[in-house]
Amino acid sequence: MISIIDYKMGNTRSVFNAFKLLGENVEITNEKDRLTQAEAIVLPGVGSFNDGMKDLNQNGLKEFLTEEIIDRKKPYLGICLGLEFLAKRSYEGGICDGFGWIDSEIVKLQPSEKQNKVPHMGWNDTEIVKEHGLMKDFTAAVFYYLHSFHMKINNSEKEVITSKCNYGGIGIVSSIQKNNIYAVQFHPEKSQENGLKLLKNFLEDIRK
Amino acid sequence: MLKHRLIPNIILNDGNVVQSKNFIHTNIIGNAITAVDFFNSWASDEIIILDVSRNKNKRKEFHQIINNISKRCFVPLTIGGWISNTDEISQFLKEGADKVSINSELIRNPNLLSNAVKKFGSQCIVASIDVKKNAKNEYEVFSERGQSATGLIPVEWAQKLEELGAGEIFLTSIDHEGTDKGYDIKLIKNVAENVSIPVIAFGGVSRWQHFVDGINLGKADAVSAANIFHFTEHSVFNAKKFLVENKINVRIPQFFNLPTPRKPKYNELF
Amino acid sequence: MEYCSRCCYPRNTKPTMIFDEIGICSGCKSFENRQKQEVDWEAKKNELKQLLEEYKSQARKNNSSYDCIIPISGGKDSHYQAHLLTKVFKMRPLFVTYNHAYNTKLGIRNLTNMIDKFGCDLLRYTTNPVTAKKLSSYMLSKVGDITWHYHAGIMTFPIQTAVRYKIPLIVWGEHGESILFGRNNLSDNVEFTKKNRQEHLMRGFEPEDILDDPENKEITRQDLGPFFYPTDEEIESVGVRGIYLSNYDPFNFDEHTKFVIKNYGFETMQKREAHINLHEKTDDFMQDTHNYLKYLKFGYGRITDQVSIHIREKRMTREEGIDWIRKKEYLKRPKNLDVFLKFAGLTYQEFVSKIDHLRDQDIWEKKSDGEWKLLDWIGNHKNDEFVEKVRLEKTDEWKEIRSEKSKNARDYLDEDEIVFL
Repeated sequence: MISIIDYKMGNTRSVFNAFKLLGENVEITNEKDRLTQAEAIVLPGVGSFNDGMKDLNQNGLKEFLTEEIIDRKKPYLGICLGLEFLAKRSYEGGICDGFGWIDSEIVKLQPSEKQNKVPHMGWNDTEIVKEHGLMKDFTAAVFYYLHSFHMKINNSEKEVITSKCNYGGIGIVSSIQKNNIYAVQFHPEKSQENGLKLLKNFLEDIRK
Repeated sequence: MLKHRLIPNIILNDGNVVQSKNFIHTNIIGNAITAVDFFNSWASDEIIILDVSRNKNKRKEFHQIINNISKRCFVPLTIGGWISNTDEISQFLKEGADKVSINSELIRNPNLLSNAVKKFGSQCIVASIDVKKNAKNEYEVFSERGQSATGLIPVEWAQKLEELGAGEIFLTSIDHEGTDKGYDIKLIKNVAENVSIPVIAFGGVSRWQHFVDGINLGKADAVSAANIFHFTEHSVFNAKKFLVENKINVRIPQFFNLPTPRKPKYNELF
Repeated sequence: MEYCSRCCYPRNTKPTMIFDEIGICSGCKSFENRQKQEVDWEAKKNELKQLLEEYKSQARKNNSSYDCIIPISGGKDSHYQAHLLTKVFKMRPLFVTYNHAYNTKLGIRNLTNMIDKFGCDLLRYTTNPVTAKKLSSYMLSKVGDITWHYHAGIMTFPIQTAVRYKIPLIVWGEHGESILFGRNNLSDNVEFTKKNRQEHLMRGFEPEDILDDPENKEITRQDLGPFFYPTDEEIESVGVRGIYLSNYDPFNFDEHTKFVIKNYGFETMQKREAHINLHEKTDDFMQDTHNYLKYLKFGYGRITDQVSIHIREKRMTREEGIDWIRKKEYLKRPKNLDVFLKFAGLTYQEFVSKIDHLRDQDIWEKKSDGEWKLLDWIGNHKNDEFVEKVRLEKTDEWKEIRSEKSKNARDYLDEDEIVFL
């Protein structure tokens, strides 16, 4: 069972539909006993980092996830906010703590060229850095992005980056993998063929 | 590089897809779910669904349709039409919409925009502006689907909406819609060059060349059309091919294979 | 129920009808557009000529045996299409037809006549009667249409042929949904799409849907061969394109019929029920049953279609149209329904109850004794508000078009008139 976390920031339905299309058993839940049984946990999210963390904190999900993912090594897939939460902290509207699983910070997207508008919204070319895991077998890696903030990873952990996207002079971290933790800044559930392939790659990789 | 987007717009009146000319609904094309299926398989970048029914009793049906469509739409889906409060926005997002488009209500109540942005984020909210030339031959913003003059100047209104936090502007020329004139380039350019959020052009496309003009001359970030995509085989795909041939930076057209079994049922109309 | 102020179509006309503020239907509006002085039919003819020339020269370059495909049924439109393409535009077409298995011998004579008079080759796909029965029975219960496979066949087999034989251009005749119901206007220059075929002509069903349906117990993949549409990639690689002649030619049905009777020996029926045109659907033995189903579902039938065209073409008044509807549309049951019932192994009661759930409740009401009652008919709307305002002046009188009776002609109700091959 693939379990998608049910919280207020989720565009959970789209992610649910995508896994369903791939023929998977999938559910949307925030019940801890269901999540403990899951084969993998997926955390999507669009919107404010602060609101999202607040909700996760209130439900005790931050600690729960740290235990499930870091200690028990359950596979995790974070999408958009689900990637941003991995950071130590975010500077969106004041400083807010994230999960801290990756030595990084979330900062506002400030592209150097005027024609690069914020939010970064639309289909963009994605440069594959590590051709395994999520990023296996892509001929044209174009995905749908929709975000105003991005992850800055400290040098010590730069090897977790598996793909990047160049936007107005900024090398946006598009995807990471650290052991059982996978996360993407873009939206695979909205990236049609490529997105569905990425989700399939995720499932194949965790079942190896 | 960030690509320009080609976005079919599906206009629904009383639950049926209709052709629209200067905001008058002239012909019924068919049902929305089939339209979404085919536009998806012809590699649309996004899809917009607009409810123009004045019959409030059909609203529940519209929500139902959106619920069904989102199960089969794997590109971003924007929903619009008579949205007037954050509860309904929340409902659409839960039903699977990625963005919502708000028009007339923003003129009555601009706070709705800032509230919605605070609650759901800028990236979810598209501000839609309908423009017509008034008796003095000047561009003026009209609301209630073209029925009420507002006295607002399009570029100023767009800037105000940007200030209030809109993520994108969807800009329609009522005079050009459903005609073969192409986009109102002057209007589009004027707005696109004076805001720093993406602008989607709409109204007047009758040839693929119009899309090219909308981007090159009108400086639009994304181009949209409604009627024309229902007329020919692989319409969106061929439009994309034309854009690629004209050196526009778009996602390379590729057919997307629709999943079967097809649920929900398509024959419900009959 | 509302009815068009000008013709006789009801608001619930399928597939797509929309009325404007004074009650004129989109079909009448679309028709009006086609009649306008501003329509430059000469220019359109030249446009067509250029288009055909392009495809012809490409075909010759590729050493292809045929310049284009014409899907035919052998009817009056097929004759006219063939005339236009071979005699006027000098193309070398391949005729393609789908045999739905419920042919009339008259239909076969007309089809044979076409091959003979135009000297073109024919590719004909025949669905065997066992399969036809399975499909008609299944679709009767699902959508109340025993002729699904006719449309599925003629709308798919020619496209499969185009891909297989690498003949990209398919020339269809009339875009019925524009001319009759006004789904599109002339200026839209609509072309054939899988989308329209699936949604409107195949009632939303692709063969994959039949195979996926748990209620389907009999129909197998082998029964559905001619209905699987080629993939998008195949269509694109051959460049398959389907155009409609009615976008380039005025397409006046009655004029065509007289023309092809005179010049090519097209044969009409001599007499029939529930139709006033003797020259339409002459190849289909089950046509009366099909029309009866339309009436049972939507409360109107084929006469409504036919008189509406005549009204629009100014040979009949709305009152005369209503009179014909009164006289011939609301029959109890067609005389040759029994042939279908025997073929499908159904009683009349079973037949009618199968489509119970498909009756349009805007026009039908179920009484307490289980019988269905029509809630309205156009006769109650003779003097609706805008009828006088939008009335068209007649320029001609309608007359039945009938060809000479061939020596082989049988009574259309004769069971021996049906032939599977």
